[in-house]
Amino acid sequence: MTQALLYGVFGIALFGIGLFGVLAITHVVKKILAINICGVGVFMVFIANASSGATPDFVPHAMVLTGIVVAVAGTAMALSLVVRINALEKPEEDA
Amino acid sequence: MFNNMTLSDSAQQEGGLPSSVLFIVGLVVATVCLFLAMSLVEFQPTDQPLVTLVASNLEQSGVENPVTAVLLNFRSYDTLLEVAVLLIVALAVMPSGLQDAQQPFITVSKPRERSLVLEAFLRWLLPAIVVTSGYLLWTGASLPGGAFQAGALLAGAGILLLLAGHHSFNFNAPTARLLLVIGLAMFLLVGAGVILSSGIALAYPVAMSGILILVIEVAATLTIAAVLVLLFCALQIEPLGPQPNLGDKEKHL
Repeated sequence: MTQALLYGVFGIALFGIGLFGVLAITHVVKKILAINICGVGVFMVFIANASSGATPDFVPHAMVLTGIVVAVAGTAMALSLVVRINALEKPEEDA
Repeated sequence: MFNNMTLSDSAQQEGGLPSSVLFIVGLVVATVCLFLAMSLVEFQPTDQPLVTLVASNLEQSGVENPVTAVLLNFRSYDTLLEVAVLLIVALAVMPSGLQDAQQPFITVSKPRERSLVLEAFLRWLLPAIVVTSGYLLWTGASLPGGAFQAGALLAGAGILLLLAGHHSFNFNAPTARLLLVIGLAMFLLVGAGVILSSGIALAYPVAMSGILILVIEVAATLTIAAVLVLLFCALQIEPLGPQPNLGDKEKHL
């Protein structure tokens, strides 16, 4: 069992934890967190696979770097929607 | 599963999913992960054509760091679209109509609560962060680093500045709008400009690729930092800074 494989398997475990959270948790913010955990798992598998050769493959590195930034942006977008929903659901406290 | 979503603090009161459903979901997810892990164990990458491809073309890319070369030269469309995504998200979460476009980008005022430790710390930390960010940007050409790392650091500096409470940012100001779009604008300008010399969009001429990448990266760093700080600002339910009429409301939230 190589180190890359170990990281890959734990990446899949993270993906599973996140996927379970997305499906099973009803709280919206926790669902968003679960999606993030899911994404981190995918990144980890990707990166771990890239380093399995003699020299690491740099293309997945660059793509994951891009993916992290997009994931942050997506999370922020989702959270801003949550903030908006929260504001709409409690109009009496905003007054 | 997605029908009864809630925002309340105690999910038990709202009633989560029944345990039988949870069990089935857990079982399915565990099975999926098991199969994924098994296929990962069996997966043996025979050869990595991209490794040699990147290595053999690295000299033409204008930078020595292969990750930067992939990000900003070989697969620059990815990065271009990513900066575009950042701009779209920034537009989506932008606080609209709350602040006047005439007001300056950064306003200085007396904070409601002062944190002496943070203030004193920031005096040391902020210049160091800015210098480190510039270093990361510059070193991205040959070592790990680059626009994203530098932008994230700068954004961290901006958020710390916000938390100290002396400054507040107005993202409707012309300066802020310029910062938000300059990354994409510069990327598009350079990408379109190189059509004149090479005939293909985003295919930099070899002699100038280093400087062109640096120009794009500087602009992208500013945009990434600005967007990340904007995201932080936009997600605050109660804005920081001097707004005295909100003092009581924050306590019961």
